Amino acid sequence: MDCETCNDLLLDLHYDELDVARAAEVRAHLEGCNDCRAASEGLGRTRVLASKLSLPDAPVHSATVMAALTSTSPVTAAVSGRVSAVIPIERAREARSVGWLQRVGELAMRRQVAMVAISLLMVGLGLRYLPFRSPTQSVTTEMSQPEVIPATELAPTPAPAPTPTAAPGFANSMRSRAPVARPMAPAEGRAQAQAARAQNLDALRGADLGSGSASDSVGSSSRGGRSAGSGPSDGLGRSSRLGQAEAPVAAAAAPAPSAAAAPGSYGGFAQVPADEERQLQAAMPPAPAPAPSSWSSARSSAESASSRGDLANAIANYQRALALDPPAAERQAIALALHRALNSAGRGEEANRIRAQYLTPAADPAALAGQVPSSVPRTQTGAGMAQPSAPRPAATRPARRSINNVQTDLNQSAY
Amino acid sequence: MRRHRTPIFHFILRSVKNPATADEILQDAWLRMIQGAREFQRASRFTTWAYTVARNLCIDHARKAVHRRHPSLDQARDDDGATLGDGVAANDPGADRNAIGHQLQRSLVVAIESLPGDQREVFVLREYSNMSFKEIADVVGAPENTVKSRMRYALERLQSSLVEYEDYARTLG
Repeated sequence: MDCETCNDLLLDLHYDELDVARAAEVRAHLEGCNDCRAASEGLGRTRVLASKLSLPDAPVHSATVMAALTSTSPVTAAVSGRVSAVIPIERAREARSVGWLQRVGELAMRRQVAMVAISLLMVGLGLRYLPFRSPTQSVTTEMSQPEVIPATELAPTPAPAPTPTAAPGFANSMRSRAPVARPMAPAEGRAQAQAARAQNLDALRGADLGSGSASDSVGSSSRGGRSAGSGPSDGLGRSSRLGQAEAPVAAAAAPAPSAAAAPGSYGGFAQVPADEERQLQAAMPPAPAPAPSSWSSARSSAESASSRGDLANAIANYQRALALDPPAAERQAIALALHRALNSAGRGEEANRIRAQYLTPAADPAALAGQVPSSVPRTQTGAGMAQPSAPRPAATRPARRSINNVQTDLNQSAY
Repeated sequence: MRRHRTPIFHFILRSVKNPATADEILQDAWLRMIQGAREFQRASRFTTWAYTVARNLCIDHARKAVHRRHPSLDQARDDDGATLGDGVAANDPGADRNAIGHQLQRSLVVAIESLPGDQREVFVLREYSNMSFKEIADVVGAPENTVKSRMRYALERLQSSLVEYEDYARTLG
């Protein structure tokens, strides 16, 4: 130990604030260092002299202090286990009563406890807001199935007096909410599903054909794939787009929608609450004029329109008649009439597609019977119908005579 | 309270240098401690808290008495040369029997009161109130090393002031 360190520790040595080992080191240094020993002896002598100062007796408590002591009924309580403190009785009782509260509070304020509490809260909130899933309804089913409800299915009956000024934004938002419905009757038959699809198509066709711009809608869709334009038919156009994009998919995914048979069940989908139903109906565009529900009536309407020279209406009705799955022989006749009308309207490209789809010998009526419902409803306009179906091998079935006759007639009319 | 009454009074007396004023401040300190008992935190020692209260009152008194003159303890009260310091140590029987001791008492009082305030309070608290340097640091609000330095300077000043009593101290030690 050097002298500087020893000099720093002299005070602690004289006032016994050094540990035993350190004090021994300082004393050992003092034994061999005269300067440090002299300094230490000087401090010791000063302390001896200072200790001779007699401390005066403190005066007794004044009356004021005594009054304060008696008024507060002081009790002497141990403070830090070594000294006594004057603490009023009220405070001692209060300290005892709130002691356990303070301990609980200190425990609750610990960081670990706070983290555990936050974790439990988050888990609880997660369980609270997770949707309830039945054992038979898996997550993959919900994620894979397109849970889209066509706008026409949400309103199974034509709205009697829909609000014409319904905001398009609100209508779109309600359409976006439509997919929350869930299929509830998956065991129903395929025939009912097809009937429901046909009714959906009726509504969709009616949405276009019933409007004043039906021809424009069909024409524009066939040319550019766009739906109807603007003005009063804007709402119908949006409805057509909705149906074109979503209706067949939803109908194909939902096995048994029965819109007409179950009022309020929305064709096999989960029931929508009454208030939501009213909002949806209010948000829907004005209902179109009721369209013929059978292929024969559609055909007769098309023929009458054709006789009047209304080619656009005739083409639309012929397309709708084809979509309503007529018998094979009648399908050929309707297709031929449609082909002629398209040629007369100057829409040769679409006419060629109809010819390739329905009037060629390779087009098997039996195969077409199964293809029409699934392929045709993908559009309510001519665009989807113009898409040729998958090529079928010509050798699988022999060409029928009626088809040959129609082909011959077709060639004669076209060329 | 009884246990700390004399050391606290001595601490106040060495600060204000007047027994009557020290008595007033001591009574005021008791009242403050009684009234502030609810604010007392058990985390700190009662000794530290009590001396802090007394020290604050001494500081307040010193601020109020800046422009007033008080008689010093070593100032002669009358023609016989008796001082206030004589009265302070009057209860010590040895002071009456031993002339050296009586003179030493006076010299000690003078030497202590001549110390700078920060050194004096540290010396009194350490030497007469038997407080550790850490507790003194809490009371005066200074680092412990600073307290030790002040103590060292105070002892050196007292040593030089009491140099005439070194031989006497050797006989005592």
